[in-house]
Formats: sequence, C-alpha cells, structure tokens
Amino acid sequence: MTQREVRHHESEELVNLASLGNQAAFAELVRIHQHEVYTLAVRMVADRELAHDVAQEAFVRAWRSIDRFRGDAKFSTWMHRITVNTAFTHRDRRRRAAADPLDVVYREPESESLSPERGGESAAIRGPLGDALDALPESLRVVVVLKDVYEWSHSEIAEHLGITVTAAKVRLHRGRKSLRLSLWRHHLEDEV
Amino acid sequence: MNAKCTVVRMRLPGVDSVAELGDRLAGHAETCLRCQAEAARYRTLHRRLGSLSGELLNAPATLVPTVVARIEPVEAQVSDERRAGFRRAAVAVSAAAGAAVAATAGTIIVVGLRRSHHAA
Repeated sequence: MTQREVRHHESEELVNLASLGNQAAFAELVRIHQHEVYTLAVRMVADRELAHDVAQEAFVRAWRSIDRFRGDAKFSTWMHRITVNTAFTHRDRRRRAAADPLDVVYREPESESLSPERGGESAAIRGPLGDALDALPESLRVVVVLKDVYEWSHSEIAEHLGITVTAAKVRLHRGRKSLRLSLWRHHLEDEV
Repeated sequence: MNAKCTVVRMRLPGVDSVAELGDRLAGHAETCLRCQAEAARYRTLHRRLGSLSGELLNAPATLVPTVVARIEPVEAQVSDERRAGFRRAAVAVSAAAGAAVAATAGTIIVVGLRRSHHAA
C-alpha cells in the first residue's frame, strides 16, 4: 500500500468515526486537511484574513453535515465544495457590508500585518503567476482556479456559480487570456 | 500574421490543447512559428496552473484550535436543543404562575377592601 493509499484509508476511517459524532476523529481530519482548505480559500477570496474565516466556517459546516457525507467522493473533494460555497457566502456578506457604510469595519492593510515568515512563504510560493491570479477580477479568477488548478468541469463550475456553462467557458477564456498577457508582456509586439 | 493566425490566437485561451481547434487550424498551428510560440505559452500557463494544486500555503496556527473550539459532539448539539426547549417551557410556566399569583392576590385585596367598606 502506498503512502497516499494509507492516507486515504486513514481518512476514510476518520470520516466514519466523525459521522458517528466522534469529535476527536473530526479534529484529526481538520488537522490533515487544514492547509489544503486554507489554500483553496486564499485562492478563492485573495485575502488571507478572510480566507481564515472561510476555512474555519467550512470545517464547522462540514462537521454539522458530516452524517450526510455518503463517501461517493473523497473527503477532500467534499471539503473543496463546502469551501467554495462558504467563500461565496462570505463574498456576498462582504458585498452587503460594503454597501452599508455603517457596517464597514476598518482592517489593517495586509502587507503591514504580515510576519517575516508569512512574507517569505508568500514570495516563495506565489511568484508572478500568483500575483497575476490575484490581479484578475474575482469572477474570472474563481473560474480559472476551479478549472485549471482543481480540474472541475465546466458544468460543476456553472452549477456552483449559478451561471450557464457558456458563461463559465467565456469567463475561463477571458481569465486565461488576461493571465497570458500579464505573464508574457514582452511578447505583446507579436500581437500587432 | 494571416487570418488563420488571428483565429488561432482568438481561440487558444478557450481550449486545453491545439487539437481541440479542429484539423484545419491545428494543422496550421503545427507549421506556423508564431502560432507554435503562442500555443507553447498557453501550454506553459496550463502546466503552471496545474502545478499550483500541489503547492500548499501554511494555514495559520489558530485555525485548528478555533475550529475544534466551535465543534460540539452531536449528542451535545441535540441535548442543547432539548435544554433550550425546557428552558423556554420553564420560563412560560413561571410567567403563567406569576400572573396567577398576582391575580389571586389582587382579588383577595379587592374583596377585603369591599368587606371593610361594607362593615363601615
């Protein structure tokens, strides 16, 4: 049995125990999947502070509905879907708050609150592609991330975003084109 | 750059490989150096985006403890709901009992006052 299979088997056992209400088993699942869920949340919302809230809420939602997890998909795939839905909920909440000036909360700019380790990690992992992704409008970034990084199908993306498959394809096209232009600007003369 | 080059460039962002462009355009892209270069850029982009799935950011150390503090055993969730139900029922019963006591006391006082009035 490979290390990956062992991990998958352990995950299945933990999911079975957690679905029976075992808190410790679920806490172990949170420990195993925390980085994966947090990373997806960061890629969805492009804000680390908000991503922490999204990841936290996603795990709490998963706990509340773990008895409905049927095991058709892997636990990590199921967590991805919950994280994406939670990110959309937080985005909508943030939009509503931004529309109401009384609800606006002051936040420290992220660059000032980054610790040296987090700054180093950020620079090492993300690089130009991460920066280009972050710079994309949210509607395009989300589609590119789900399709090209997490290999979701067009229909899955369309269903989760509440848009048509054609709209999902158009957003992917625009997102990829925009990334290509950001990453290879020195080849723009070819465009003429 | 000819018309086929323009069409290839317009369609490349929407496909996962040059083959998806169809025989005519794919055939052109294989022989045209400009289109080959553009297709190579998109291949690189796909590869780099795909490799991001294996790159994980470290979750903040506060994430796991915060989640663990927020989850409760399923039984506890159920009993909490029951406890809240009992609490609501108890409040309603005490309010009703209080009202009954007040009403009785009021009646006794009124009757007492009337009797003393008649006696006078």
